[in-house]
Amino acid sequence: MTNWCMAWLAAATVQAVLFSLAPVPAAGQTQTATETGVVRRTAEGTPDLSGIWQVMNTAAWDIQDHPAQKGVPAGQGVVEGNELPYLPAAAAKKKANYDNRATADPETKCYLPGVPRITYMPYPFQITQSQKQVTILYEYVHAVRNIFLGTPHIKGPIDWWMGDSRGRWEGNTLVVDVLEFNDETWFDRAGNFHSDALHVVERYTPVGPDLINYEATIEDPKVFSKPWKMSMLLYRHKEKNAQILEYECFSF
Amino acid sequence: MRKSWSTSAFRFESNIAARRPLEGGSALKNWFSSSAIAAAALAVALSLTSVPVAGQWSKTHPITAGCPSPAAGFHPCALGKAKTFNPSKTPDGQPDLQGIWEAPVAMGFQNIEDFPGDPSPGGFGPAITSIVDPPDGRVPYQPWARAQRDENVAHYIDPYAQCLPTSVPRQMANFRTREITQFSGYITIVNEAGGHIYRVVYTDGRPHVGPDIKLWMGDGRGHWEGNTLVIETTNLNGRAWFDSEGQFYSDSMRVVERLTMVDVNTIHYQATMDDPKVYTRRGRWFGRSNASRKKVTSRWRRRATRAITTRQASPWAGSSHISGQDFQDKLLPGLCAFLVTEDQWNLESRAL
Repeated sequence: MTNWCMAWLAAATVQAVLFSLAPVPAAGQTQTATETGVVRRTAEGTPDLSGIWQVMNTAAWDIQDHPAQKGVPAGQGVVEGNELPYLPAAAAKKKANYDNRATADPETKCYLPGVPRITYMPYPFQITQSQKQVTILYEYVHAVRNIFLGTPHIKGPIDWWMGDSRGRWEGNTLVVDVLEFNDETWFDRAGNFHSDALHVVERYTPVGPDLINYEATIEDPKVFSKPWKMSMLLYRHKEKNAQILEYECFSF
Repeated sequence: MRKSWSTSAFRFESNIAARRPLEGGSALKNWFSSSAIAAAALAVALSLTSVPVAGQWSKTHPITAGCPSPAAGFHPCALGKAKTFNPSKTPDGQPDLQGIWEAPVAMGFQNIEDFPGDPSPGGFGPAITSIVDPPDGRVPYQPWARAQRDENVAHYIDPYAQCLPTSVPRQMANFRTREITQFSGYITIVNEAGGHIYRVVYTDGRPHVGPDIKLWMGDGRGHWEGNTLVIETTNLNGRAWFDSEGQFYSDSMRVVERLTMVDVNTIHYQATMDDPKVYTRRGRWFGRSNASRKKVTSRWRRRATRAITTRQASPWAGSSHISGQDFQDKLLPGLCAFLVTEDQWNLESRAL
């Protein structure tokens, strides 16, 4: 908890200090993007997202509004408008997933969690960056995403747990288009799910030196009647000794 | 390195890692042979039999950087060449090791010692020892540990075949590629295969994490000695093996790896292992202990005085006994997924 508090304090301080500096407009800004300030940049001038990041929310349990349960902290959802536009059959499946979540959740089997779920698992991840690619190293099961910049998707269909990620810069925003998923991952521990037709567009927008606004637009015509969006903040780990450890789920 | 450490128990030369060529038939051949290996690895997973891997592979790469591939020949030859090779530098002045690398010989994958090969169907091909020190090419196990190693082979499944992380140093001997990228303050090594593994090696001088934190991939700290990247790894959980033949270490192991460019496409890779629980060690350490001295029969046998008297339930032998069906049900899905790098994909696309 101490680290969390410190991160909060640090973020608040940074916000206070930088509030008067030239604000950077955040592309695709939502209600979560409240911090303004100087964005770190690489030598080439693109925003520098490198560092160790983690969410500070309860989306891992449920991406929608939810009350507390034993072992589950209450939380405000991260879905815009809170409701998910499930098709009728999919809504029934979601309910069944929820009822059977103790065993049916792919996380309980230690599978790779997919995108965007891995972003808001309760584990940190490290972003490294070059001109050619952005790489995300997740503490959870040593998952790795290579986000290649400026190259097209591979020709599918291929079913991958973490999809095929292709990125581009739009102003200060890293836009990542993710395709070629399998249908075996969920969005959270509450049974929200997708099919292999999933298409995710992630937007990483730094809104300060230590804060990224993260958005994911979800499109899946087999499961949802229309696209929907979630958004949240990623906080930089600023502890002096911060580093990624490991959670090798299937080794326990 | 820090002088307070006991002197190394043995050195392991996984063979070198050569930058993967992006053009030409040999690259494609590598790709296909890797694919075959991947398929074969899957076959292991499914059938729990062994794989013909590095035996054939080694024959396709007899000479690397003008040096013979077997470790005993490559080691002095490559280090000699490295003395006169001046690698290019990154913008902040580090020798540039960046790129996608493979271990073309990968003989250490099935067995780091001399290995006649397994004649049974699907068994591993022969291997030439990767160990350059001690000169007999054998892991200097304490007696109980040699017995444990035999037990591992007889009754346990290679943790790697269960898609558990390869750990250190096997990460560098594993088939398929690993990408090394250098940043200010840290270096990343990301593998394609091996339970989607990576290491972030800090070079900013920070201390290791506390001793109670045990990690499959250990806690690596790097620094430069001339043109050589030195990585010192501690905090290993000791549950992985060196190879598929049960060669093991414990959670007390320290590994010091040295990566030196030999030419523009070749790295000399060396790892020095130090594990007082499992290997025999230098007399100095034991000279201060109460252990009785034994007759010296070789440099490595001198300290064969300390054995762990209470054998634990094989914490070094993989996660557990596991049945084939459990393996398929519980472990296989999604765990052995391969990462594909951009260059790898280019190769693949071209091949198609």
